Amino acid sequence: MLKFIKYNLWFFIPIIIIFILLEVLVVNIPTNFSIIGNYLDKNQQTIEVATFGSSQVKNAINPVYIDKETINLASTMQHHNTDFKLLKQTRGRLSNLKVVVFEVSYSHFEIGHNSKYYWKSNVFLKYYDVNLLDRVSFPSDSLLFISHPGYFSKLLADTYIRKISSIKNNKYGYNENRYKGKFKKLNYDATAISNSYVKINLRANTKIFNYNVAFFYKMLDYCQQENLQVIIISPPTHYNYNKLRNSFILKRRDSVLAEISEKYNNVSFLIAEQDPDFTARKFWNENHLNPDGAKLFSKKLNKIINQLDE
Amino acid sequence: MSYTIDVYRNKSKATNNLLQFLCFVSFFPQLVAGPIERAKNLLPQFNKERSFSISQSKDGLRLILWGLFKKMVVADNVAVAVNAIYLNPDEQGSLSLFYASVLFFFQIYCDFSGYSDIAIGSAKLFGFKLSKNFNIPYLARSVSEFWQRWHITLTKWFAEYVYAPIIKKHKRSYLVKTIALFVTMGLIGLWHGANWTFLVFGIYQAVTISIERIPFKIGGKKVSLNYYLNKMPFGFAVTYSFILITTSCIFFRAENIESAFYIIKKIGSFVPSEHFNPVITGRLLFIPLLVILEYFTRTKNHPFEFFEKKYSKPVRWLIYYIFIFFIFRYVGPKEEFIYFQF
Repeated sequence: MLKFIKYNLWFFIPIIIIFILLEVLVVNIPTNFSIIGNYLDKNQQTIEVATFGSSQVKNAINPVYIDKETINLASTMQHHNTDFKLLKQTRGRLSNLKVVVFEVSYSHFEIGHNSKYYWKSNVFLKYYDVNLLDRVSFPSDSLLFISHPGYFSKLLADTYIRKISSIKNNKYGYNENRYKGKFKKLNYDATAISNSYVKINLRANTKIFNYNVAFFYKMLDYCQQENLQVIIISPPTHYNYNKLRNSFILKRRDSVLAEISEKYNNVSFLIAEQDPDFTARKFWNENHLNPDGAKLFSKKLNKIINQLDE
Repeated sequence: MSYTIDVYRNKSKATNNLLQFLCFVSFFPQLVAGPIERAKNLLPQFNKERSFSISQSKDGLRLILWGLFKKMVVADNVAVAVNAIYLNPDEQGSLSLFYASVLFFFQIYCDFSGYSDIAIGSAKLFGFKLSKNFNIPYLARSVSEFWQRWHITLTKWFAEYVYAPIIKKHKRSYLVKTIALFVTMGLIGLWHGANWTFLVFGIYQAVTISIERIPFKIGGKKVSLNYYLNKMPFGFAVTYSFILITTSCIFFRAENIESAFYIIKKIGSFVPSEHFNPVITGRLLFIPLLVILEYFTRTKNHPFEFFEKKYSKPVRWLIYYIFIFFIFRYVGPKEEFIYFQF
């Protein structure tokens, strides 16, 4: 048995050393999560606006253009269940919070919530001190590299080996250099854009829809209890995307929004899907804005936030 | 359940040791998703005094590594491609749907056999020997043979407790054997969940196996399709069974019966796949690696067992490190074991 243990130690020690090294290297890279985490720590008492949602919101809101102290807690693939946990677990710290922004974009209600294996649970635990796990957390739950080795390996390679980084995060964690998307590659050419493939969800899923809507009402009820103003947004999407949307999905989403507007007096809306101000040059791809689009959209959102005080 | 039946039938002796019995029913490696271990195989192992075996423990660790590779690298990465295509079957062409169905077969195989390997490997570390549950099922020459290679312990369980009692007095009757087959496979289907898709999955297997078993005479010799499948060139027979099994997997994966038939119909109607990309991510290339390794080491319990006898320790360690690197670097998005739901 001792021989077996000795061999195991010899075998596993290099792996453990490499793993610790990778973790240390990853922690030392400033990511948008670490920047947002720092911002959250430093501005807990002054933050008045918190925004939640998926990559559409992450890319559409640059807090620089919002007069009130704002934190953008949206991230790629993030859904309402994660938004709600983020809100509830930061609420105690954000003593001055007055406005929350939730996303209800075109097919948001038709897509399932984040699973219990959502890789960002480690990231959020480490940087935001938010536990998405529905259980007591352990130190291993905030290890970064192991949470998404693919993502962090690329980040490590870009930072330490290739020494390239196109990311220019501002103090709010917004990447102000995020232009190089599909639309830029196509030179914003209308014909090329209209001929290109659009990834869009066309599948209506009633079971998921019913669950998501009921869950969203719980989020709104919570905000009402907490005296928070809510702004429901749907960031702009390009014409090429809009024309493909499933009208049934759109119709039942809109009927929920209409019901919400009747039922809650603390809810405002910014449904900008077809806003003509957003030309192709404002987009990164069909359903994500670039920093120029974010500037415009954030200013529009700012206007609504300011109107809430009047 | 099998323990109770075996004791009732006087095939096993009831144990008088409560602690051993409780250890048997709560033996964690195989508790959640098999292999489904019979009392007569596992219970005596609790009675026996076990001593540490370095070779068994090493093999246990190797099996765990192989199981983790199958689950975390192959199954979880394949799941991304399968989910993406099955999410919107309306938008997909025939080739994409067929491709996703083939991938789903590998997903479920690597997911479940990966779990079994981890369970068997963990048990080995404690000095227990569990039954083999998978034997490279995609190399089966017929659907009948497939079920001797896929979830072997479940098939044996149903064969002994459902199929055998039905045909007990009519072992030569094709009709009785076919009825027994439909009942058994229907129940195997339903074992996976109370859903029509699983029932159809089971019945589909029964239909294909019963066709393979139809007896007929050629030149005075009584034969069946199975006989010819065994005589056919290996590649042809394997392709035959693989296509049939892949088709049945559509029922396994689809949300409901309508959706399953819709997908089958769409595959058969040769609708062009406008945005078909055979390698959605390079990570799907782990499937050929898996197949090559399993094929060339098929006489062994798992590929690492083959390396044990073939290569020196430094080479073997290098291979293990490479596989650990694959697991860390190319792990797919975390997915629960599919068979945990059953």
